Amino acid sequence: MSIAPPLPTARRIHLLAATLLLGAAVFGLRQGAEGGAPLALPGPSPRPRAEGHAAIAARNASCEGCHTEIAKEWRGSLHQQAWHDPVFQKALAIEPAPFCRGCHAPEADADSEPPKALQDIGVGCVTCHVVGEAIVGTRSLAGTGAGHAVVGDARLGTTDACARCHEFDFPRVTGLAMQRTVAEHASSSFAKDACQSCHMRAVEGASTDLDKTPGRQHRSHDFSVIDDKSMIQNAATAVARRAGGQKIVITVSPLGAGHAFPTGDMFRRLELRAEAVDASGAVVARAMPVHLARTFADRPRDDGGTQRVEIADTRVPPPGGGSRAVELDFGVDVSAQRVRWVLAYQRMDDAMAASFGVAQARDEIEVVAGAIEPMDVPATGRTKEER
Amino acid sequence: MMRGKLVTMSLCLSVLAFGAASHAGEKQPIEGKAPAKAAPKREATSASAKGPYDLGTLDPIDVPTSRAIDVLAKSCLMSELSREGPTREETAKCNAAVGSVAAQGKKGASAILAALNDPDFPPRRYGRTRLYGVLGKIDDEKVRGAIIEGLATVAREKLTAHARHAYEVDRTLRAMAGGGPEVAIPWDGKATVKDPIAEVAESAVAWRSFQKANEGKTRAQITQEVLARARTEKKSDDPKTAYRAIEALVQHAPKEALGAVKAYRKRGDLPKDVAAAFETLEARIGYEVESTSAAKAAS
Repeated sequence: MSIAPPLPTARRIHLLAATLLLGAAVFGLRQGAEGGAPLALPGPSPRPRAEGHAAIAARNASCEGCHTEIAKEWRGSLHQQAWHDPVFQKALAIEPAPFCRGCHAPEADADSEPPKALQDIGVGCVTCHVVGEAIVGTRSLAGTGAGHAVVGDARLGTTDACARCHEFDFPRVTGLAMQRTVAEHASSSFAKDACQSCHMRAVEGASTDLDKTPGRQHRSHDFSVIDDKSMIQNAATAVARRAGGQKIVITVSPLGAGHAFPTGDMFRRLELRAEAVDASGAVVARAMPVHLARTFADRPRDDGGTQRVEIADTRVPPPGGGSRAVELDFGVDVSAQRVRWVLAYQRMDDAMAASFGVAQARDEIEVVAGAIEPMDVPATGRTKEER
Repeated sequence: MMRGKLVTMSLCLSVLAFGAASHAGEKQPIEGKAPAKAAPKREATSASAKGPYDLGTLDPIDVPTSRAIDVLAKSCLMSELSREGPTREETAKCNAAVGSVAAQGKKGASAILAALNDPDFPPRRYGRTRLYGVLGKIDDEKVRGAIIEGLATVAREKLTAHARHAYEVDRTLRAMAGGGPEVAIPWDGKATVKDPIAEVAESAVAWRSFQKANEGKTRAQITQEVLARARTEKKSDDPKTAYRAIEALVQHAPKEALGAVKAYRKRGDLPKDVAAAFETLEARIGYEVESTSAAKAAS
């Protein structure tokens, strides 16, 4: 078993962030407030609010009134569904922790069930764009004829805006990351591209209904991730070869993902499976599947407590970090058979899927699939086109 | 939302979603080009019915230990689906039961292994982790041997439900023996990921070799040898030797290991990937030291 300890990268990121924040505080260089107090970045509850829950829901609705295209993108996005997502709800039922509510219903009090109106917002317009009384955007719109003033905060267009809910430690242990997408991104060859480059792509159309200027573009607020199959399928590529009569080796390499793949929730994984078929297409052997994932264990502490630690990480590394070779063993000689293989993205393991009522076979996303011809026929090599 | 719809439809689709599993020797027509997801199958071999651990060479099962294990199974409950891990309350509830099992000492080993022969007992993985933790405190070559042969059985009989506990087994054996097979060198090509059974098979071979090389030795003797060798090699010019030496130090002398890795990282001649591996090692040891210190302070 390959053992991967907690990444020092995560610590570096934390230290870097702390240093930057300290430096900014000392020198008063923080952007966004245009000379005033620093603005809070998007993040978990409690959000800096000048109004009550009902007013915040109304405020969110008012955003939708004039930004209909963006609202359309946001409606149904994983951000808007953050609270209602069925898998989150199943997980929350097991661990109804304020820690979880904080990011999945950031407009509500994390210590209790959110009001319905704030459940429906999830991560809403207001979560990123309203700080206190101010409406915030990546740049100031003062004096531009916009429907309201916009305070510019360039950080809203950077990874910092995502970090507080996409990079965090286990709630009871400091220094051990439960999710570390930001650190993975920082260590990748995509580090200079903000999350928004891929997950808020530029699309046609003005950001507000008031702007009738032709040729306008805006950043999509659909926050594409696993609801965009093509994005998952572009995250990695793979090539397969035989390794003797009983085995094949599939080398999985990062492609379009700017972080490890899969990233985010600790239970996400890739499944590699293969089967040998005879000339009629009948399956004659199936290799035991291999999973690329993070693995955790609970270790008793000297003080009688328990500590969850990451003991292995076999995911596809962030771009720039090499590839992952995976060996699949049929246990019998399949050199005379055609071998079909597939790399599939799964949100959780089979047991969890069964428990959550998720049909794994339908829920998974096929990333790459291919075939290797019998040994007396030239191999097809990379076979993404066979998907 | 796609996911929401899928969940809603899952009951209807589940019947269609899985085809029958096919294995070597079975022929089954398939549709489409990519391998379908195989239906989960239950182990049904006679070996798996007995479990991996052969108690034949060990002391008889101790009844008080078995009773204590039954209590542990009911006390050490934590959802397998938990993200956070056990809470302090869950841990505290479990600790007393673990203490009762541990109090039986070496004579409880057979009862523990008998319980662990059932891949689903204790019913939650956390209880199983704690049972392995108790085993780790037992210094007995025969028990160690039974566990190592259990690894070989898991690989030979393809006991996949047991294979998922391989990390706990390796950790337990290291605790029992005071050492273990050499760790993989991160920059040395141990990049190939294999299926869990293949990983267990490799582990069994390594542990058998270790056991043979340390035949007749107690944990204290092995520990002494491991420490002596590590202290000699921790400054080796060969980074692989130094890496393994520092890794070996971690189990017994984490603070010393931290000092050693810090010192080694000051060398300016390490290739980038090697330097990165030592940096990672330092972070991990640092964490071990911090958490141990914090634990001592808290207690």
